[in-house]
Parts: sequence; C-alpha cells; structure tokens
Amino acid sequence: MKNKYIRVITISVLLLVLAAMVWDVDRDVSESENRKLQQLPTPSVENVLSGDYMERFETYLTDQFPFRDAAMVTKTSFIKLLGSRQVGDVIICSDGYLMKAESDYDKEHYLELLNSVDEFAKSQGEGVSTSLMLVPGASAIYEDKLPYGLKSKCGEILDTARQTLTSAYFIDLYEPLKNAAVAEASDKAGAAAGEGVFYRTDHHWTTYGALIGIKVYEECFDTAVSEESYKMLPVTGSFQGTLASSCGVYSEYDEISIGVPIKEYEYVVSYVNEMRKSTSLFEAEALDKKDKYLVFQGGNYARVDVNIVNDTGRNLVIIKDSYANCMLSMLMPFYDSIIVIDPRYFYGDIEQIIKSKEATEVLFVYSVDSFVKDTSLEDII
Amino acid sequence: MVFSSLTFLFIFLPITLLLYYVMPSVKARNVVLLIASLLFYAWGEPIYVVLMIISVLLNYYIGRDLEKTHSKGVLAFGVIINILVLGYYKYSGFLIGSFNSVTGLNAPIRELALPIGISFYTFQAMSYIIDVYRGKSHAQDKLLPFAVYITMFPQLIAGPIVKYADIEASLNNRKWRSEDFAHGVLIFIKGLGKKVILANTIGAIFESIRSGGNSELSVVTAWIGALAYTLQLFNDFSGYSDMAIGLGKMLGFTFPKNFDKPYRSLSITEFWRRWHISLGTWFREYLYIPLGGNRVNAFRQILNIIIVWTVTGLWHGAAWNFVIWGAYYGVLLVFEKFVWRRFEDKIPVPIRWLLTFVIVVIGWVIFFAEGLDDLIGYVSAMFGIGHGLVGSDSLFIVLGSLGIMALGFIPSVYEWSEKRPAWLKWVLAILIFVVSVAFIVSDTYNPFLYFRF
Repeated sequence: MKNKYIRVITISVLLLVLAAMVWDVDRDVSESENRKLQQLPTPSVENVLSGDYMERFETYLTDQFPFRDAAMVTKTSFIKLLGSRQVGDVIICSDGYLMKAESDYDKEHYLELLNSVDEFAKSQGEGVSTSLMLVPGASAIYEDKLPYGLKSKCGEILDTARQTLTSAYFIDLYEPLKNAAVAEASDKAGAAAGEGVFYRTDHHWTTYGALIGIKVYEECFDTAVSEESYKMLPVTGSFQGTLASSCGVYSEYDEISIGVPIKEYEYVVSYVNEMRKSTSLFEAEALDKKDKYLVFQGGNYARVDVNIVNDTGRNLVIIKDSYANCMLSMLMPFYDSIIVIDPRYFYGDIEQIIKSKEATEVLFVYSVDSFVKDTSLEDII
Repeated sequence: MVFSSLTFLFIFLPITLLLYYVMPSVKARNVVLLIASLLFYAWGEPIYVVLMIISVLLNYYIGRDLEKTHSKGVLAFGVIINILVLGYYKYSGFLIGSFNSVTGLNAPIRELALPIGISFYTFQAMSYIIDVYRGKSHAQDKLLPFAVYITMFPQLIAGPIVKYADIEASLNNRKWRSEDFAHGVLIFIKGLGKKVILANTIGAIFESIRSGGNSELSVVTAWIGALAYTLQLFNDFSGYSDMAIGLGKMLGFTFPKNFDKPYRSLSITEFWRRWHISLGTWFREYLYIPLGGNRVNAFRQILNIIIVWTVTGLWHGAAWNFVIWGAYYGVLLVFEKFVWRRFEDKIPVPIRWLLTFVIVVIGWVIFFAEGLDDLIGYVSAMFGIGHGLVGSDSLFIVLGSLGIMALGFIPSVYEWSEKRPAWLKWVLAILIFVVSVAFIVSDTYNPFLYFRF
C-alpha cells in the first residue's frame, strides 16, 4: 500500500463504518441477548452537564453497532484461542455444555433471606405447609464437565439451607438430580435417558429435570409421581439459549420438550395483571422466535392463576423465578388451583392471596444462583 | 472521551481528521484542532472544561509577562497558582484526611471529583512558564497556538507530558508527510490493541484474583496476580501513550517517546529511564536539578533523590501507598547510586534483570495495595508465608490466564509495527484493529438472563 493514499484510506474507512452505523436501523430489543437496547438519547442541559448523556450515547453506539453479534464471536474465538475457558459470565465446559459461572455471594444476605423464608413459614396458619426448592446449577450437577481446576460451591450453599430452615421444608434436589445425571452418563444409548437435566446452551433446567423436582416435592406429601404418567413432547430441536448468545458460542442446539400428563385436564390460565385468559400454558408462537424458551407461558408475569377442573382439595401458591415455568403443566394432576407469583414483578399482598385462595401449600422455587442474589423476595414475604 | 470508544474511533476521529485536512493553512488547522480538543475534553468533563480554559488563559498571560520581565515573583506566582489548582482538586481530601488522622480532629472533607488529565496539563503549563522564565523558550504571543499546546486532545488526558520547547516550532509551522501519517496509524493501532485486548483482558484476571482477598492466596496465584497487574499497567499506560503519539503523528506533531521496553531493564536507574520517560524528565529538569542535582554533597544528593521520588509517588495519586511507593524507589535509587554500582558489573546479566524485575513487580504491589494490611498480606502470600504453593480454588483462573499472560510477555507482540515488511505490518494492523473493535463492542454485551423488560 502506498503511503500516499493512506490518509484518504484511513479517513474513508472510519467514515464508512460511521455510515454503516447511521444506515443500520436501530433495534428496540436484541433477540440474541434477550434485553432492551439503548436508544438514541435526547440531550438536555442536565444530562449533558452530568455526563449522563455521553455515557448513554456510547452505550447506544455499542448496543446498536451493526456487527455486534460478529464482534462477540470474534472476541470469544480469540479468548478460546488463548486457552481460556471463561468468556464473561459463561464457562465453556466439555460435551458442548455452557454453564453460568457461579457468582460470589454475600453469605449474610443469603442467611437473612433463608431466615425470612423460615419466618414466613412459621407465620402461616395450620394447614398451610411451606417449602423451599433451591435448584442447584448445572455447574454443581455436571461438575465433572467443568474445566480442570474449577469446582462448584453449590454444595456449601445447599448445606446452609439444610441447616437453617426449621419451619419451612427444604426440598433437596442435589442427590436426585445428580443421580439422574449419572444415569444419563452411564446409559447414553438407553431410551430412558432421553434428555439431560440441564440445557447445554441455556441456564435453565430441562422439563425432565423439573419433573424430578416435582417427584421429590410430592413425595413429601406421600404422593407418588411416575414418569409413565407424563408425555414428554419435543417442540423444537433448534433452541439456543441465553448462555450461547451471551458468549457467542453457537455450536450446539438444544431440544425443548414440554411435559404434560397423559390424563387430560381441563384448565384456565389467567394472567392477572394483563387481564388475559388462556386455555393453554404454552405459547406456540415463541417457537418461531429466537428465544424459544418463551414457549413456557411466554415469559414471566407478576401473577398467573391456573384453575384446574380437579378434586384434590389442594391449592398451591408458587413463589418463583423462571425455573418454575416449565413445571406448571406437570403439577396439574395434584391441585385444584395453582397461583404463580414472581416477586420481581409482584407488588401485592401474598398473605391475602393465601387466605382467599385457601392455599394448602406454599412452594418457593428458585435456582440457587438467582436466590442468593435475590433482592425482591424479601419485600413481599 | 477515551480513545478506546466507538464515539472516538468512528465519529470524533474521522470527522476531526477530515475537517483538519480540508483546511488550507496551519492557522485554520489549529482552529479545528482547538475546537476538537475542547469538545473532546468537554465530552468527558462538561464542567471542568471551564477550569482548563481558565488555566490556559492564566498561563498564557503569565508567559507573556515573564517574557518581558523575567520576574522571579511572577514565576513564583505562576507555579504556586498551578500547584494550588492541582492541590485543591487532587490532594485536599488526602491532606485533610491525613491531618485528621494525625491530630485526631475531624475537619470536614469535601469530596471533589478529580478533573481528568489535570496532572498532565498542569505540568505542561508549568514547563512552559519555567522555560520562558529561564529564557529557554520564547513566550507564545498568539493565544491560539498556546491553547493548542495545552489542550491538544491526543496527549491531554494521559500524556506524554510534552515540554513546550519540544513542540514550539511545530505549533506554528509543521509538515504533513504521508509516511508520518501512515506510521502514526500503525502506532495508534498498536496502542489500541495493547489497551483493549491485552490490558483489559489481563486486568480482568487481576480483578478476579484480587476479589478473593488475601486470606486464600497461594504463592502461585499471588505471583500470577502481581504479574498480571505488572502487564496490565504497562499495556494500559503505554498503550495510551502509543495512541497519543500515533494521533500526534497523524496530525503532524512529534511527541517524545514515553516508554522504551521498561521491563527489560537491568537496573532500577535504567527502569526509570525507560518507564514514563516524559514524567521522569520533567521531574529531573524542574525539580531535581533546581534542588542542586548531582552537584551537591552526598548527603544533599541523597536527600534530593528522596524528595524527588516521594513527590513523584504523590503525583501518581493522593494516597499514602503512592508516597511509600515513591520513597521505595528513592531508597533503591540511592542504594544503586552509592553502593550497587561498584560491583554491578560483576553480576551476570540474567540475574541483574531478574532482580530488577522482581523489585519492579513488588513496587506494583505497593502501588495497587489498599492500605498497609493489604500490602503486608499480599507480599507475605507471594513469599509463601501462611499459605501453600498452589491453591485449588484459583487453579482455574491461573490456567485460563496463562495464554494471554504469555502473549503479554512475548517481545514481538510489541514490536510488530517496526522492522517488518510493510505488507505484514498492515495485515497485522487491520487484524488488531478489527479484534480491538470487537472487544470494545462486546464489552457491554451483557444479556439479562431472565427477562426482557
């Protein structure tokens, strides 16, 4: 390249990128990142003087950069090339698994949260039992797939819960999920091990994993749950979850199945704040979108009521994060009604719901990772 | 605004360069450069830009006056004003805090945000008025070139500290050669890669080792952490200097070299001739030599060295660990000068290098330590007091960091923009630029795991 032209070339190349940035239509939402993107900020005297405008502007440029996904793939490839197995929050594990790095947690905050749950359990009247189901992460259950030198701290977190809870039941899923993982590993060709308990590309547990959770929970009420009484219907084989998109590793696809009882139940789902009713717990349209996990109710809501034509005398209140979404359809055989509360969006009165719905059980369902960091649960219990 | 942002790379830089080179005269180009520099600074410091403008005007008029009078009083006034401004923003909290802890009183501390680059541009302004007083330079009679000198965006925020005498001629009259521009682009990209790819990635390793606290540190992890910081700081700082020098060349200026392979030094004296050269030169010229330099008795010389290095430490930040860090080097330099030098030559080169490097690494531990307990805890861990050789917890971090750390220690990683065939330089430059932009863009790539709104 002749130095003579370098000035023109440099300025032109930079201006071309600028032109591409201007030309590229701004998006509201990133499907692959599953979040709202920064829009072009409007300057005002205050936000310019505080510097807030400039920060937002830079975020806007990076959020709306036309080659954003390619940039992530480039960065990840570079980091992998240098031998690191961690990209941001995501650990690249063996057998095609991506797992979320376990974050440091504040032990005191966690203990406080456990005690609040326990207090909550104590304050319930006769005939209302309270349980806490903490779902260990993939990094605990598939610890052998973690890169060399990395260990899960999940065991210590679960131990604390086991020792702390006195009034609330602790639903201990560590052993059952681990056994399922072992069975899966030893029985690769076998028909029984159709699915793993965690997705490869997403942080959620699979529907099969959730069924194990239900089994353990129902055993506390002497209710036997048999796998044979459910159908596992694969709905898509091309799911790539948030772990894949947050690190730009798109080499694996997951299968999502929905679990439904073989015996059919009639039910109505009410999305209370949205004032919408539906006769299905599933949103088929989500399967055409990038985030196919939204097939389970289409996302998270402040409050969802499921009323089932049934006669069990049991009513369940679930207080949960997104780990409970795939469980709901499989819980139907055991309840007349299920009230689902997501504290991240819910601002109402839980006690009042428990009373008016004549709840017999309250179940907290959280992934360990989101529970230890949760900041919204304490506000409502 | 920082160089490693999309706003700078794809909006500010091309538009500034375009307008700059469309202009027909030096004067018009200076106008573009001044306006661009003020916008550049205001983007990061929308309020303190006023402070910088006041500083420019003040030093301009002091310079004009000194040119005529060469009055000691005016010089003293100028130096004191500059030091007071710097002191007020940078050191008042530290001084009052130290005063409180010594006296047990409780004087109120006003938390002031430190204006970006104030340590750099104040030092440039002081070099100007002192040089004019000494008759080494003539005062600039036009405000525009002087304002360009102080505010010029490439070196405004993190140096190099350009002495007025070094750049005086090119402020009014400079050549724009295509070779210089091309060379500038290469140096800029080299700096960008050092900052964005190496410093940021290695910095993340350092952070993750530090976040575990000192109680679990094993020897290997502590050393990896210290080495990571050693590499991060070099790449961060020298990367920024490279970008500044590269941008300067693209605009027709030649700034002095700021780093010259410092980690290859065989003595501490040599290290400080190679690390942050423009700061070392500044202190030598405007503090050490006025104090008497080498032409005084040994006792005064030792005292002078200790004073200069304590002040150098303090320049890096308003905290006691910077003072200790500066004094650490002061003592080491005195030792080298008066003792070590006599038998230095008898020691094999690899051992001299290793000793120097270890001293520098420990220096950086003092630099990053948060308080005395932290410092003692970390250094103890490095030398195996308390914990094992290899920790199980951090094995993953250590293993994952080896690749990038090794990359950071390969000399040719830093030398690709010299001594290579032109086509190879440009292929590498384009690759590094693309990867750097990918790193900048994906830095905020931060998916929410659960929900959309």
